[in-house]
Amino acid sequence: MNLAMNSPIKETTKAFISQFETGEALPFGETKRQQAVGFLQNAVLPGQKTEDWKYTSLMPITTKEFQQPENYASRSLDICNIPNLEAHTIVFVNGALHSVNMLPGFDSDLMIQSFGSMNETAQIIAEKYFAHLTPPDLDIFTALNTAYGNKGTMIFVPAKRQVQKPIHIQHLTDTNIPIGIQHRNLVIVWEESSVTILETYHGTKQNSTFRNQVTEVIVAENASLSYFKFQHEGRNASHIEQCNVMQQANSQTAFFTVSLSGEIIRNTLRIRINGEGAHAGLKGGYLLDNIEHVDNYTEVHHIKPHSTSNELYKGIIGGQATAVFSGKIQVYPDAQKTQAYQSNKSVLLTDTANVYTKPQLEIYADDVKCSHGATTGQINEEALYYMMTRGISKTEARKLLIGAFLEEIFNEFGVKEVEEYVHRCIQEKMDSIH
Amino acid sequence: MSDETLLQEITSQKYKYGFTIDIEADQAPPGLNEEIIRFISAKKKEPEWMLNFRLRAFRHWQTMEEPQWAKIDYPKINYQDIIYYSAPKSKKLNSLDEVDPEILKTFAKLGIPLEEQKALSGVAVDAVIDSISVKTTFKEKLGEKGIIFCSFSEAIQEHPELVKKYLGTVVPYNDNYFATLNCAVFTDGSFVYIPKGVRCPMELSTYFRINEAKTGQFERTLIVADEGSYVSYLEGCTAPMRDENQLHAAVVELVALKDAQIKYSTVQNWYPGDENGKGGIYNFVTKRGICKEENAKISWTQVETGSAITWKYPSVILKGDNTVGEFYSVAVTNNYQQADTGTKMLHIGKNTRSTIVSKGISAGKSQNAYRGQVKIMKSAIGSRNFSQCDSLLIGDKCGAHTFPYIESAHSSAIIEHEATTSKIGEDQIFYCNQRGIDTEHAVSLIVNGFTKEVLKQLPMEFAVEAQKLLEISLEGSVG
Amino acid sequence: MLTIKNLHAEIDGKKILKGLNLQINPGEVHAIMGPNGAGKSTLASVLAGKEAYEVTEGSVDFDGKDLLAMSTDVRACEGLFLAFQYPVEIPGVSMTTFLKASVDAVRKYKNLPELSAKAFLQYMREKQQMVEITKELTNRAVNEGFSGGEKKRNEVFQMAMLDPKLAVLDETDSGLDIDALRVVANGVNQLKNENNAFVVITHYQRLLDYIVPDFVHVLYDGKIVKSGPKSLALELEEKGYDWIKEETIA
Repeated sequence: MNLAMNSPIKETTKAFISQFETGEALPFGETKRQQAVGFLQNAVLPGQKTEDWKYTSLMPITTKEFQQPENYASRSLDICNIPNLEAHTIVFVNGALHSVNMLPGFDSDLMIQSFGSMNETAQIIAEKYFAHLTPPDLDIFTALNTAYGNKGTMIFVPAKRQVQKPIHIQHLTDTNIPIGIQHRNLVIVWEESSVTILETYHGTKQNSTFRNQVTEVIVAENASLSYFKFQHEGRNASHIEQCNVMQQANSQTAFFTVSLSGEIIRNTLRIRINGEGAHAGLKGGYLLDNIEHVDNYTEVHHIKPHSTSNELYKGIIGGQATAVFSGKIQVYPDAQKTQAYQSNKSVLLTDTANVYTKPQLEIYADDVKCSHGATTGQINEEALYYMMTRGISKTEARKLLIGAFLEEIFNEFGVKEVEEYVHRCIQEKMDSIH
Repeated sequence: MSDETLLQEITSQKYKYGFTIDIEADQAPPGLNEEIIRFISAKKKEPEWMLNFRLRAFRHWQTMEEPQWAKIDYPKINYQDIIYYSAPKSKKLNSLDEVDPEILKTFAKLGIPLEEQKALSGVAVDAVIDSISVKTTFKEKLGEKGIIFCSFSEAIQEHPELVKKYLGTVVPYNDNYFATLNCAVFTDGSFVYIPKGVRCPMELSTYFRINEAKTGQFERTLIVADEGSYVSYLEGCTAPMRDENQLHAAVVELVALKDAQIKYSTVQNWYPGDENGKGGIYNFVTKRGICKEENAKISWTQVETGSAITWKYPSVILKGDNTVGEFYSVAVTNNYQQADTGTKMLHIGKNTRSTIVSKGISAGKSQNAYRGQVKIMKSAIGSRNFSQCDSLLIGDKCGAHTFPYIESAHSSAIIEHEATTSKIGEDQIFYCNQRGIDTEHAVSLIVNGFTKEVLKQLPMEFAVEAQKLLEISLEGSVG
Repeated sequence: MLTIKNLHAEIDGKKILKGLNLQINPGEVHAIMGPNGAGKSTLASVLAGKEAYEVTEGSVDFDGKDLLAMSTDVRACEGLFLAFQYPVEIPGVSMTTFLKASVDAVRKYKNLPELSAKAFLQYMREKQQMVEITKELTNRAVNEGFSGGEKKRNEVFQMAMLDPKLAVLDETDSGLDIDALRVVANGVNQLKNENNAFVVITHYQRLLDYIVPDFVHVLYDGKIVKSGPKSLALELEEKGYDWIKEETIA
């Protein structure tokens, strides 16, 4: 629209983008980067008239000024640690690489590398798959990341490798001023391999980071991936992420997205099942308070026959918080025998909390089984009462019930230490709500 | 009012558009401008306030854009090509031989009596079942109870205070593109008023007006149920209506006051186009009811089998406390039909309840979408919604889609939504076959089972015809 | 009545029946036994005309007509009844509606007039008593929410309604307790006469204590490998199927 040329939104967009412009480019993906820079010339920020952003206002982000991340100052990484977890780790502090720690005896073909210090093989792979699943002009945030982001992680699991210990990507924000961080992950799990990835986000203070992240995941034939994202970066932090996944025949995935704090969190998870016999699992959980806002946007595309997906998102919303869930299942014309299930369950703790749920089924094949369900309600008063008659305090009873409600989301991750840790974080947050 | 003066000023300027239309003409020239609207209003001898209502809508309409969000696809409509007014046609046919044999075939399948067939297809009817006389006795009976049931034009003349009070209060003049167009150019429709405490003794049906003016294209209906009253209204007819007008943009407004109940049932079987997707009606309807005061109830039931394109979301605003909204729908699409239909339930009052049951059946190369919204406002303490949206697919070239929007702003609200999509199971058909039931009959049995929950909401005789209609619509969809 | 000659059938390219022969005369009860995967249920499905199965060779003659040339519903109208191992649920369609459609179709095929609603209901009540089916059950949707036993009784009830020439009972005894088994068997025994015939497919000889067969056939690897009188069933029960396997290989 020509009207937009000098409109306020155009100005805001320009100012917003300019905060992220940097000169340092990555050693790969130049064409994609140019494409993204081109797209940004005319891009505008989505407003509430944009269907996919109907319930999420970007005001808290666009009204702030973000600095370039400061360099890491030697502070404690303790809050990022998950007790007793043995994992290969790659740590980023304020967006910059801090360290890579591989467990003893790791397979030397397994690549866990930072974008800034990749070896030659890794660069060749990255050149091929960078922005392969995520077109640079997909939307403004993708373009911004593609054009000016220069930090990231590449994980490459060669064929026929079962990576025993999880890979843990840690993000720590430790700053007094609002900073803008752009991060990118490129994860490739080659044929017949399996790997478990954990990505955690923590913040030391009431930091007001804005994180713009793009994650691209390729899961090849007969490979399997378990990917857990745990967001606990502080209630003033914002996080916008695009995670685009491509699954090939007979691959298995299990995605977990747990959001415990953030001013604006937008998790996009888009899975394209492009092979027969593949299965995708999507689970999400959130526990919100104050004016926190979590927007989970998912798409599952069943492109080939005989694939299955199962999606479950559950949330507890207190304070004046808002939870948005949009879930789309699309079954393509040839994708017969697809089975796709989706469910979103919300519990509101207060009369000032808001829930918006938008499940969608788009089905173009007839021999399929698809369903979605959504419920919103409050904590089961009967159960609460029952527990109280057994001597449990109301507060404790609520905690137990909420814990049990969210448990289902992360208890199948398969790494006990992580499950216990997440459980404890939820209980702690519950304490702060009361 | 300054608004009014401003309006008039603007109005008078527009005279420069030039041409005038002969008030005696039977038909307006194609196109849409203020001149045409004045012509329609003058033709109908409308009071000034009515003309102003139309003009205000028209001016707003000019600033609007045709909505693009629905999952439907159709060639661009040229609104300047349409004739917005033509006098009631009294093109009587002499015998049934002149009626399209396709239509006659459907009549036969529906088991419609011969005399009625004539009436429906516009053949001159003999004196015995003259619909005018039927109508008269009928009107008398209603009159005794103080019920007003008349054409919209008549209501404007005879009951201006009621029309003025409620027109545009549920669907405002600037509501949406098609509704706004309707406000500007509507030709006629029905008006119903049920006085306090009166239970309407019969099902009110547009059927009784079928031989009156052809008001199809831009129809307008307003039903007001005063305190403690009850009315059941049937719209449409199971007979196929072959209308040369491609675009239909109707508006229906329902107002239920304290303790009142309105039940509105629709069976829509307009021409869906042929098996290659040629022709057919574009049906863009705005239907909305308001449960204005406590304990009111509005219930929509629809069976949609016709039209090439259906764009329709009968909705309820649950304003009063303890009010109830219901939406029961069966939408069938076959060949190249497209339907994007559903409802909106807006919960404002305390302890408001809504139920949504939607059954979509897609066959052939059709696309069938459910689109609905359940919104619980902060004030709607203790509200409940239950939604069930099921889709059935027949064949592998069609699509079934579900787009519910669920918005809750109160912890005490309970919302449950369930949706499923499946095809008619081969094993179900095999089971029926093994009991001697052939495949076509098996499909209709299964479809009837699938839609039963909705059909049972319809008045008995309507339900039977609706069932037959489903069979006819799906004929030949299973190879 | 039924003559199966050299029947070969496969599903998704997998050969299941490999040259089956069987002769059934009016008034006879045949039991077909065999280990899992021998092709028992395939035989039932092929006789009923399930599309997924492809007959690659052989013939089936049903009262002088080519059974394999008929569609499933025509076979049913001709008097072939299959009591399903896993009866299908048809949501929303009441048993009464379903049975009326079924009985009407069969009567129409035989050029008999349609039963009036009253006559139909009376006929249904008679048959209901026979298999101890409650009215409550016939008011429900076809097989929806029925227990395992109710589903099986419902199959026998439908058999009684349609009064077939040849009834094939596909593992009707599976999942039944002893009382339900007796009810089912009673129903079959009452329907039995010199003009009709029954094929009872079962894994266990238990059912055959109640429905006494004239012949017992052992189906193994897609063929009938052994036939005998009722005592064969007892022998199988005692020795198991391995004995047959050994004998066949030898």
